[in-house]
Amino acid sequence: MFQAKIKPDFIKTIIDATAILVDEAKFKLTADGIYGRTVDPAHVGMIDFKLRKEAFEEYNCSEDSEIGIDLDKFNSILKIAGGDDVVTMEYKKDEGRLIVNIGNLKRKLPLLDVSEMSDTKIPSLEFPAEIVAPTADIWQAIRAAESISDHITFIATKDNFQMKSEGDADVLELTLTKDNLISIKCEEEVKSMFPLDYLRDMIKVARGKSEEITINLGNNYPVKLTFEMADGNIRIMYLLAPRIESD
Amino acid sequence: MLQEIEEEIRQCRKCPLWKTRTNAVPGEGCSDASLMLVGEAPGRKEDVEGRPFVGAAGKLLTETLKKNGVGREEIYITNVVKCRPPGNRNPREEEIEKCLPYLQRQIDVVRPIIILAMGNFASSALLKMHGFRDGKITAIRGRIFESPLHAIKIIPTFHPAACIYNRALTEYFEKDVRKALEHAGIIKPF
Repeated sequence: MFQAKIKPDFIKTIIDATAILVDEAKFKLTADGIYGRTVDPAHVGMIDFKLRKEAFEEYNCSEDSEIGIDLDKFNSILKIAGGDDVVTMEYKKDEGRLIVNIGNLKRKLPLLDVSEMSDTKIPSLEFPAEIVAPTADIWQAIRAAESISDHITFIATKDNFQMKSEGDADVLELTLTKDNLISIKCEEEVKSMFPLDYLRDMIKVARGKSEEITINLGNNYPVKLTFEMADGNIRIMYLLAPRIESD
Repeated sequence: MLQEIEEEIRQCRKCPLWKTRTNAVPGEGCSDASLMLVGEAPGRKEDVEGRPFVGAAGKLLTETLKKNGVGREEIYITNVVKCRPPGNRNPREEEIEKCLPYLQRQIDVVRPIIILAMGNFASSALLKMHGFRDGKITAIRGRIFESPLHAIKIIPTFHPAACIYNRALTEYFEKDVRKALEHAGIIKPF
């Protein structure tokens, strides 16, 4: 038996954060909270999230379960909720449906078969650089880069973090020095290029909700983006595969 | 690192299969192989010798590699389940669940470019582990499942034991082995 009450904004953040990669996802309901990990069909982006029980108004999960969610359907219900509403979710294993209550409104959401859904492992990665940067600055660079290219390069050195995008004629650079960053750990220069469409969607999830983003980077290597919200009770981690430059 | 994992497997008692095994079969081969071959579980001969693919199915596999001028020492060979299920029955879900972390760690250490997943169990486990949807082996064999994020390609194929019972499958198996060797850069395409 699972029963929980949560602010609509919190659960919507998780659904939106997952929906940028997939239409359907498997969520694990546990005594400590709701967890999810999924990879997009192109295997370029991955999300791993934790929605801790402390993020909920009320939380009760007597038995671990896995549920398959149609994210579009779930989002269509959540759209109805206003900022002051509370979303109540109920799940009983034998019923195969998630009951969502918003005010006096009740929606029975049929669940998807989780046996077909994968248990994606997080790739084993070692990152030589870690940058903690203000989300607003990263978002600004992503938005500016969009008008000139479909990719962006992240470059970290001992003292700077740079985002660089090149179009046919235009070049855009944003350099954040040690003073502009919250922290930077990098021994040698590392550089990787990423598709802007994925990055934009990922950073957008953090924008306005998390003041800082932790960026783990390597050379022609995936990037790990981590951010927390709701006093650290919502933690979202994205992995994005690099775009390898061909000669 | 790989030897540490192999030693852990030899001592493993995480599922009841340790009670009936003669030897655990961790795997063998090149520790930085670009190609990893993964089967289902050890058979009788593998259990006795503690080495993977040394029985009849192993003979077919070794011969197929040899036809392409490749020795077993150039690749890494292992199974999803490291101990023999009694009477060669199919591995149970909980046995696979307990054993799968060993395979994950072996993949992380060897870091192959290609994994040739031999048979239904290996294909299903490896595809799911890397975020792909599973499918019937007859429908998905020979296809390349590529994960840029995991920096890996998986090719499902028939288990060589299935080729012994149904010779018609050998042609497909040999084709898939060749494809895996080519994509791993071990042999050049025709």
